[in-house]
Amino acid sequence: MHVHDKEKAASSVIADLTQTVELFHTFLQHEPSDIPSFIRNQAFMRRLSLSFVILFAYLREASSMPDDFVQQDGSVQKQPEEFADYFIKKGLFEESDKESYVMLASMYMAIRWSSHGKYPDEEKIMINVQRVYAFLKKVVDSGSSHSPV
Amino acid sequence: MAIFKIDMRLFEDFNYQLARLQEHFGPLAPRASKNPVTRNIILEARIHAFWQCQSTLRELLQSMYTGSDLSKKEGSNPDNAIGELIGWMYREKMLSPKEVDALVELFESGMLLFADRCWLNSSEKHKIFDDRSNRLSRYYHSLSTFSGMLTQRLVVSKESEHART
Repeated sequence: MHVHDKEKAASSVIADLTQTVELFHTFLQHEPSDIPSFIRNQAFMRRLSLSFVILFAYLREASSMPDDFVQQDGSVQKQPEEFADYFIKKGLFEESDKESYVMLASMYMAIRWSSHGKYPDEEKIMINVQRVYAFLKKVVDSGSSHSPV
Repeated sequence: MAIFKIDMRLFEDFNYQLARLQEHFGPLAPRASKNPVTRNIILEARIHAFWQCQSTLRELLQSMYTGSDLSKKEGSNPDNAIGELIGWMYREKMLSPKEVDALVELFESGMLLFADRCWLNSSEKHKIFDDRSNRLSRYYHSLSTFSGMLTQRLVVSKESEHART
């Protein structure tokens, strides 16, 4: 891919990420008293999942991550910590944000791959949504001025 | 006649997700709101519950196909496991043509509704998204009917097992 194409792709994904983070913000600001908490929790489960999918797409694009980095031994997925280290090395977020990235990745996996006896604890996840939002906002703000690696 | 086995853990997972989806249409369901953010929160929650439910059903059908003799038949295509299983259920009169169409549409909607709004880059795509998300109550009923049909089959097969022993 040419540098121009890479820039175009990264800027398109950062636009998606900006939009999804804005939507996240409207949810956080709104504390409706007329809807049950399970509804609000489920809405956040979707928002968290999609935010992670879009964040990962952006970080992958902006770091020019090679395809073979995503899959280890052709099948085993790398741990969130390894991805975080890679993105930190590429200057996409700071070491101090590693925990937030890993937390969001773990939330995504728990929500997406929930199964018998391993249903995500939504109340526990909800405790950390503000922190996740702050991390996403930070990535968006620095990403808007960041050029692809 | 093809025989399939049901992975009870997956079937319980499916029923659990179905019960979560049912809450959106039962007595606890919130009333329609004039506030656009509240409306959006309700819609996103409903899409999430539907998506989780259809995703578990996909997994259940996939496992039923793999464990059945359909997957061992000549010309079977594991990539179309769900389609082949639904086709077989139709031929065995376990599903009506309407129910088959409903299942096919809801799986298609499952893929469509996974998309975030920011990925919908045209008014036409927004329209499709809105149209499909307005059908969630109908999808819930189709999923519920399907669960009922499987439960009935389980009871029948347990009864025939008892009759044999």
